[in-house]
Amino acid sequence: MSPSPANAADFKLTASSSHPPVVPWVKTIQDHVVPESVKRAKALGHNIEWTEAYAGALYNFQNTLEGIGDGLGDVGWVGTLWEPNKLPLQNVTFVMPFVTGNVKLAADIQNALHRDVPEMKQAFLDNNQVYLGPQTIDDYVLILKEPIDSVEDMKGKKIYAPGASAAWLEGTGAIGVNGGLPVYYNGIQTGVTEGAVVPVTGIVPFKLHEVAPYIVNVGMGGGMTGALTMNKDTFDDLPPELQKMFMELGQEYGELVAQRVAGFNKASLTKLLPAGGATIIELPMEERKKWADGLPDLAGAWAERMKEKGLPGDKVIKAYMDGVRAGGETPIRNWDK
Amino acid sequence: MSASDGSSVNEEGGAIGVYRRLANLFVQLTSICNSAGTIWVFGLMFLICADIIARAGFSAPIRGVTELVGYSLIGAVFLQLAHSLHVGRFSRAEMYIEPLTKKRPITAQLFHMIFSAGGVFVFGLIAFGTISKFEEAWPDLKFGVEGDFTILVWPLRLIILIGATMVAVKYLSLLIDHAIELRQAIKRRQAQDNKEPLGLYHLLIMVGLFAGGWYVANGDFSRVEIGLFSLAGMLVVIFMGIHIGIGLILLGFAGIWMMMGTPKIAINTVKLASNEFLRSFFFGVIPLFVLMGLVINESDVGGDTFKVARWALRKIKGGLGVATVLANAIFAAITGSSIASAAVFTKIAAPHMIRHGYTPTFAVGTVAGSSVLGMLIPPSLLLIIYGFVAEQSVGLLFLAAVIPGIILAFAMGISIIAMAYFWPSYVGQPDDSEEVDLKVGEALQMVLPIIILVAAVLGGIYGGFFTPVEAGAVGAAGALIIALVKRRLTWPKLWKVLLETGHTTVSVLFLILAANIYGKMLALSGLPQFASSSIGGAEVSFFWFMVFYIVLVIILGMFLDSVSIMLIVLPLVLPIVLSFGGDLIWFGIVTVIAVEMGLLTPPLGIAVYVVRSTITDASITLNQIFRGAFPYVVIMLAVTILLIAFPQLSLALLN
Ligand code: NA
Ligand code: NA
Repeated sequence: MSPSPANAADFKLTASSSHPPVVPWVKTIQDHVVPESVKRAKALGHNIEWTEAYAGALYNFQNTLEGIGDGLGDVGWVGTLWEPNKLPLQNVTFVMPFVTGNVKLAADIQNALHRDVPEMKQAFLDNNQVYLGPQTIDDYVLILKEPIDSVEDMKGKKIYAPGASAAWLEGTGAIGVNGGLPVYYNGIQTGVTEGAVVPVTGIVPFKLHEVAPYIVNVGMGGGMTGALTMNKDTFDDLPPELQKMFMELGQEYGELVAQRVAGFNKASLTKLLPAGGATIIELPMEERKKWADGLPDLAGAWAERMKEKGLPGDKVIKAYMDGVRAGGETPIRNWDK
Repeated sequence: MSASDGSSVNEEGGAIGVYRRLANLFVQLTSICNSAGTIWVFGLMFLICADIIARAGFSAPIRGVTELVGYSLIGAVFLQLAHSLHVGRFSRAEMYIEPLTKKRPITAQLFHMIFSAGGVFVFGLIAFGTISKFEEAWPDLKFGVEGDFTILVWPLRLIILIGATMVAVKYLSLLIDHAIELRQAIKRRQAQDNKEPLGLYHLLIMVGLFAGGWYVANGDFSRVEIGLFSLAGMLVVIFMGIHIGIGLILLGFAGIWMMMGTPKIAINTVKLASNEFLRSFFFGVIPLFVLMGLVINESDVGGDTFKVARWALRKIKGGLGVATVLANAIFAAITGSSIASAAVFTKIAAPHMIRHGYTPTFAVGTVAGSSVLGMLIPPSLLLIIYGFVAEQSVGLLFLAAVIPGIILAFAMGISIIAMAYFWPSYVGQPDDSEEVDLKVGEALQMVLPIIILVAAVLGGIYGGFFTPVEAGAVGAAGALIIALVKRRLTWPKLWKVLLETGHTTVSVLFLILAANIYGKMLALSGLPQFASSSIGGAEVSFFWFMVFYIVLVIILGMFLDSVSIMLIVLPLVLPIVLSFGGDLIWFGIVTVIAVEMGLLTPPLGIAVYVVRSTITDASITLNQIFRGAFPYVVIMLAVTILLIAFPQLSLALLN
């Protein structure tokens, strides 16, 4: 049975994000999720009409979870990294730096976790939204106003380190300041901080190398920083075939974002950043190990805190590390051992 | 008067008496909360300065200052809102409602009651939304990161809840006050032999507004159309004289409801914005720069500056007029508000010029006219607010304003000299021969406090030592030290300054919050994109767009205050400027100077009002000051055109 256009349901949806569509995880909403959903819904006899409100038009980076949960947007990218208190398990990779920068692998693991660990799916449901797909990030690096060549040089520096990544500076003597990509440029330029911990792919779109031209790879790796979600009320109101369609689009979103992030990472490091006057510094492996081994047992302490909340932190750590090693990567620090 | 009349008045008096006592008690409560918020913000200054010292001196920055400042600001704002409303600091357009209150009191009181009900609704809504935010935060939700710096969320949410409730109650009290006045107005009319007209037909505006809203809500309109209707409705609502912040939130709320077809998202937008939007370190710049300007006013730096300017220009025809401009330009480098400049130089410069043979019209006009430099030459409250709305660096905006500020000051100075020669009927027959006997060293010493402050504040920003927020804290602390050294600051004066800082900050931040909610409605409607694409399609050139924009701003400037104009217009206009490829820093400078013309134009010209309320000579009328300031409006328009034609004038220093 194919419904005629006259009695086809109309769905007015809003796609939203705190960041502008220059970053892959927003761009992919704009150029894949939105147009594909219209096309595929039409084939299913439905009509979807989108309002697109990116770049913080509806809420800022501190409120991506509330933004979708409260229904300001129906579909959007949620920055799990800013919600260590509401989405604790989603932040597992922030207590496991120096593991891997393989975006595609991390996205597959993120999907597996949301499939196998009911508490992770539930955390989104508790915030009135449905997990559609993963968003993972490439290597976090340091961008700095002044170059460094050892861990010691970090002492006393104020550094933008979003959410839980502030803990990665522990033991180095640097101080983490909370923030988000949109505020880094002004903040570094005017001296709030002397640099930032950012994923490589975040540097060029925000021109951060203009104010912090030293890009230092210390081997921190990447991880899970967000997800594509849909407001639960909206999701529940959709017919099953559209729910299925959005679930599939969520998976495609995750793959496409991973592909784009990896590609852009490479282009940034080999072409765009050097051409923009930035200097890329690879910290030697022995300094990287010093940094990684100097960190306290972040994952262990985190698993303890999760246990107090009745959450299976250790299980998530193990599953992630197993996934990384099974994917052929060699972590600088093995947090489950 | 009959006996029965008398007894009914007594009964009324009893009920009203009880209400008045309760209302007074409530005002005392708001005053206590206001003081708490005031002290809280003052404490931030010390915290930020301590952080700078710890960071620069000991390489040991204090953890969590950034988070604490944002947290504190929103808390302090909600503690102070009710009292700010009580002392009348919520801005509104008075052009319609004020005359109506005099001529048709009965109808006007009905308007006031409806406006107050709007206030009860808006703050009731904020309080209602905050309940769920409080429940979410209770008992252990935190901001920040465990191990680095965390702070409990629920105390802040509780403060917002209590603060919003207090404002709702205050609006309810205003509603009752107006009901009492309505009753008295009806009584007065009953006693009139020749009854004054009721003027109830004015209420047709209100009926039309509600009918229009009903029609739009129930019709089948696109989001862009709803956005357009809300824009038209906003103009009507604001010009009627509702508090502008309340009007913006009401229309934003109604617009989102209509577009989404459910109130839920509209409620959530208001809830989220009022709980989260102001929680930003960067908003700290507002109270700190306001505090700096107000403290420096108390230390008579303005008087010294004027003396030095007189001395420097003593040999020039029209020298005293030019000296007023020069003193204003120098003073502008340490004050962020034109209101401060207008008040200071009305006391110092105007009587002096009149004594020396300038016409009173020219004297007061020059004081009002040159005061606009206060908000063009950095630091500037308007540039700071523009920076928030357009997401541009405040530091870059300040830098960009330097050359335009100097150009405007020069244009004013040269015009005064020219007018002194060619238009004596306006300027008068000045005798500038007075002796100010200063040596270069003395003169330098008198402007030394300004030099120090400018070096610390602007030097600090551009030297990369600290952010604009931190510069504000350093400037405020520096101003305090100068005032203390000059023995100008007493405890009562300091307290007055702090209260004034609080009220200014709160009224501005509430407007920014309201505009943010309204801006979200506009973003959701897609109106800005629609406007850009239709302007693009109509092949309107950027030049004609700018002409249209300046005219619009000048017209709005006749009726509204500067901050409101920017917050109302910018969300719609900025995307269009971007679509033309316009530079947003340059556009900010042009906007600020165009908006500032409104300070000098009737019927609502804030700078002119300030001059009038500060001047001791009662014979000088408002009209006279408006006339005297008009040449300066023309000069500003000319400079605006110059800045539009040559964007390099604003952008040269940035490269
Ligand atoms: Na100024
Ligand atoms: Na005006």
